[in-house]
Amino acid sequence: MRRLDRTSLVAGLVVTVAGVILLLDRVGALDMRFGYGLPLLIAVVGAVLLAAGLEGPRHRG
Amino acid sequence: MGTGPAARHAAPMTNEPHVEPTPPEPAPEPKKLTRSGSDALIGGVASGLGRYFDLDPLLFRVGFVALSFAGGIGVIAYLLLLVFVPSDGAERPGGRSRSLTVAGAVALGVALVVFLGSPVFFFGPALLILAVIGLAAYVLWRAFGGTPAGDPARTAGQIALFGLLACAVAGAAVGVGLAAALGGGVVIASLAVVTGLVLIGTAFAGGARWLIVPALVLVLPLGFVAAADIDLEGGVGDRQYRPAAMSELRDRYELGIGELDVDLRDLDLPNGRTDMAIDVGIGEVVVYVPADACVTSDVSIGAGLADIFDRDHEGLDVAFAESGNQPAGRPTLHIDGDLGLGVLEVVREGAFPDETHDDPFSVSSGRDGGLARGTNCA
Repeated sequence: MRRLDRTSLVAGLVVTVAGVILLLDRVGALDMRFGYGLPLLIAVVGAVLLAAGLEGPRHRG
Repeated sequence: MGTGPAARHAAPMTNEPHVEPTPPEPAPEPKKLTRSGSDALIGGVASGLGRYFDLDPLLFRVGFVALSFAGGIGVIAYLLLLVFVPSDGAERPGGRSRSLTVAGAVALGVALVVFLGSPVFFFGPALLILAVIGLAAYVLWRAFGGTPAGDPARTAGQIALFGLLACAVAGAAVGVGLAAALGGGVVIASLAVVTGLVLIGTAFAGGARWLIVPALVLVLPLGFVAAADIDLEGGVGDRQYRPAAMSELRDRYELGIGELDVDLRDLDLPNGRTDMAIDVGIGEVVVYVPADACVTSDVSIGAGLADIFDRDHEGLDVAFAESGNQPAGRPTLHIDGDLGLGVLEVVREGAFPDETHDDPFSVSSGRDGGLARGTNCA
């Protein structure tokens, strides 16, 4: 049984959430601004880094 | 007594104690700058510098904090050292990567500070952009197995390879951004959602970390285009319009990328309100208004500057409306401006000398009969 890769899980979650927010912006359901758009983008990258850092490198083989 | 070679090489029989020859002392290893894993508050950079220069690490910590308030130089310097100076090997137990953890924590901290808008921590747009690019680049580097190496040649090779990969990713990101600004945002956002769901799905089967980089290449440029509300569908180039009659005046002037001049000085605007919309993705817009016209405006700029008769509004998310009083019996031009990135300037031909129109709202009279407070009328 293969183990759960938490880095992929966290990355998938934040990318999905960000994608949905951006999709809503593009269809006009909300109006994204730098005021919260930039923190969102930085938080996406930060969450992925944090998850990768806490889980550590994946062992190959 | 033999005289052959065996006899010549025989050890002499003496009563002196035998002394073992001492091996030559090894040459001291050259001092190498490394981050300290054992004495680290964040990433061990200050401790490593202190060890390298034989100084108290506290001096470097104070220096980094002080320089952080000088345009963020301290933060940038610390992050660069964190990424490119190798650790001395004393990483956290449990297989955790301290550098990745620290980088992630710093990113979340910057995001929080920006979101809260604390006046104590002033981070300009340039630092934010650098932080985004730097963190994305670091993700890319680590995704391809990059680790700080002790061998300078190996490190140089890694950086060169990383630079090429970074250029390729940057090119892809620019392409995604252009596609989003040209109307493909819905498709790109949908692809990002699908990529995220695939990442979630594969996480339970060992993961597909290689998908993280393409996912970020989709999300980050699209996020920038969405935040700035950049629309490039109006074409590329420089445009000049100088309508001489009301029939030539358009309701809307559009441009994707470039410089747009709308010169209305030959126009005899009718009394009452005349609406004019300006929609530019990236560029500079200059609107010349007739000397006798009042001007009201409703402007939104993702990032840039609006200069309405020398009243400046600049920065990120610039949005303002100037209505003022609209005197009856006079022509009023209403400008509805929407720019993604750029400059919008509204000027009146020769109405005011520079020294008197720094802040027209603050003066009640001027050389040409004065400015009515709260209006843009000459």
